[in-house]
Amino acid sequence: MNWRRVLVAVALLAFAVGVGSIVAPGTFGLGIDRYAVIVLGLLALGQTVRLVQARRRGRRERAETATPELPPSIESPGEDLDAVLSAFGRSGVRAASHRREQLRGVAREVLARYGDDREATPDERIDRGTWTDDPVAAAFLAEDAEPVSLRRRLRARVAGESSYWQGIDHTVAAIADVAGVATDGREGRSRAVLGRLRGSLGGPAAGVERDSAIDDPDPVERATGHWRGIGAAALAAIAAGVLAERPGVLLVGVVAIGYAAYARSARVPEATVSVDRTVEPTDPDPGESVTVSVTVTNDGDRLLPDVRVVDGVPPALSVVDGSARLGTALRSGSSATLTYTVEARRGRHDFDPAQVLVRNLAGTAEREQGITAIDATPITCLPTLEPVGEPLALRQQPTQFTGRVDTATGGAGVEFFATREYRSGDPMSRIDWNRHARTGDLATLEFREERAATVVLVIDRDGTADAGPEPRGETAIQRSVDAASRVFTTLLGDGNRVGIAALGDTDCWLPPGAGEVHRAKARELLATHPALTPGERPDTVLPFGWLAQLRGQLPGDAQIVLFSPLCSAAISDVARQLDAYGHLVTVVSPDPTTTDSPASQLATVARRFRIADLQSAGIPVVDWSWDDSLSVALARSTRRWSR
Amino acid sequence: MTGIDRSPTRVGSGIAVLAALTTLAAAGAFSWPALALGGVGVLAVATGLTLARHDAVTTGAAALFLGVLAAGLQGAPVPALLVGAVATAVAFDSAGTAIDLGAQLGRGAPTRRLELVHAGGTTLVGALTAVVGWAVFQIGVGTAPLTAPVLLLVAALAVAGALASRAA
Repeated sequence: MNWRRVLVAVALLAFAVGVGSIVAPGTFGLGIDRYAVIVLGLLALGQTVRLVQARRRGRRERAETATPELPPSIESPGEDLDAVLSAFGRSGVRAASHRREQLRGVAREVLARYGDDREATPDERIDRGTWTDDPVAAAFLAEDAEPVSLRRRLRARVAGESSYWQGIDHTVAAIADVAGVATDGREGRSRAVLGRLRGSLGGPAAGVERDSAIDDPDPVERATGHWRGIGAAALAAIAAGVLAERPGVLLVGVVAIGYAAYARSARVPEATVSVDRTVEPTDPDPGESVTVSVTVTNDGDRLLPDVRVVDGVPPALSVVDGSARLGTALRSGSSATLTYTVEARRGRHDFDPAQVLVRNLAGTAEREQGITAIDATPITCLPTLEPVGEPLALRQQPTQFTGRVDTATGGAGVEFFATREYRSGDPMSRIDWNRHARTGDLATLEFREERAATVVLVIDRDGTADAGPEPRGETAIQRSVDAASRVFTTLLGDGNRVGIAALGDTDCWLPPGAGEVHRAKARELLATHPALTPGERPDTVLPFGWLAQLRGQLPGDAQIVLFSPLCSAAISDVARQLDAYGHLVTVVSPDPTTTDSPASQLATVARRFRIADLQSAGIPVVDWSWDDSLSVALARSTRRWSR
Repeated sequence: MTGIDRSPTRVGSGIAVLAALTTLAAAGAFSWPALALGGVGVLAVATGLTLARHDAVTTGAAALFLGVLAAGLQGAPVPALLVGAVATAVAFDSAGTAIDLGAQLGRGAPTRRLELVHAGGTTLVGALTAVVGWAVFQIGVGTAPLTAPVLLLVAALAVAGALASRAA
């Protein structure tokens, strides 16, 4: 610190004397001769080299901004091979040999389910390597796997992939092939898996992948290193000018010193900025455009030469027009406005604080701060409840209320059920008069009784359901919520008593009921409950405590309709347990899986296993393909289950 | 909407390339080495702006600056050198700002006012220093050709030393 002060003092003194000797030559009578000049020039040169060396290691710094304009990026099931493998039920150490063991287990299971060879057991086929045509996969899982030859290992190394990962890729592809999962996208698939497992490389300016615009509410100040290297340039010019005796070059050095002083002088100003936001309309319908205007005002009494604003667009909404960002200079008291349009989605969407970056005029220092708008109006979007065209086939379980669920009991109804012997008191209209005319016997017609059911719709909001096939598209949770709202409307319209619950969230519970008030409550809950709002990142839930509480709340005769992509074994366990407790369970399962990488093919296989297991346990599963509408999926499944 | 275009902003890039071309013209008109170095500098700055790379911009600005020095050593007139030096600084500053703005706000955001204010500040600082230096030089030429510059040099060295000690 003292060293700096001395240097500055020397600089001031030398400058004064130098200017003095120009203005009034001979005042100081300094006899500086040629050699001293050369020495000083060389010193300057040395200092230049030192500075260049020192500054080359320095880094430029800047605040990174998020991309709140886009809906959060979602993964498709199978982003992580290890997670998929442990989802097969063999969790444990993630060691290299362990992956081989796990894959072997998966292959055994797939062969047991899909293999049609009756002569050899799956284990024998794997040991002999006859289970697949792919020699790499066969060798990878074979019991006496001989060590990979040096030549092949070298070739693989040159190609940029290890033989181990190559073996895993081939094995997974072979397993998917046996299970009948389409293995398209073979091009570059190994690269995809390797990239995902080893962490992908971001571009030079990829931005920050996070939901909110700013993650630290406290102001952060940093030096940007913007004018880094100007001191070295100044010294280089001075050295060159002195050594070559060129006053013009020396003057270039003086200009450079001017910039060095400019870069040093300024301090970063306070972010005396207020943000005012207006939203029009505040209660849009889904898909409607909402115009957001943000006015940024400099409330301080000093000029802010460099203000950069990224507005805190609600995480689930995407900007469709305009820019939620602004860079401007603000005089004291003046303001600037940015306007953009977002597309409304179901839910209650609060704005995050705007990320405000303020720099000084020279751009050498930066202050980052989150500023909350004065008026915090959320966007609330309550979709109307639309019924689904195709009825969901509920399981047969009558209540005492008349309704639309077919029963296996004969009585008063529409559809013919059976005939029985006449008992006195049967209504005349139900007597089979044709038969009486033919034989003289009295028989009574019975019709299929239709009864109301009590149904609770359970929505899976587990972390594993926060997935979808498109990186910025809908998640399976959103699909589930939309499907639940439509099924709710249909069931309620058919006279059933319907309730709603979210898996793993004890707060989100609407007891079964009927009527207009109940419908309005459900609409509100489905649209705005935090557990179901788009853009929230659900955690992985441990459903067992929740399950106990739900069983306490459920009416004894309640059926369950579970909306779940079935991406986790825990969720299918929940379905089985509820069914075992006597609540008839139906699963509606939107399919978020893809087949574009080996790991996601494996995830597809795992999901098929879960569906098959549930169905063999007597639980109907509507496998809802991502490209189909809910009606199509329901119609398809009804046809398959038809009596 | 697929994402934010985070490439350097248009206004800043335009100013930077214009300033780099100005340096090329001012220094390159008086010396072949300056023309060559300036050409390399303009190319490097343009490349840095295309790829959003600060290091390419710094390299380009260094080449432009060396071009100005080369022109000076070959006896180019002082005003041309001063214009070249200031234009180099503006090119370096605007290019760096454009890259940072592009990364933080993206190309689609309205940023023109900020960039113009920034480039204006840089030009003003350079012009002031150059005019003061030019005035001192005009007064001092012939009277004390070495003593004054050397003392000014010592002053500069001391300031640079202070800067270096801060950075260390």
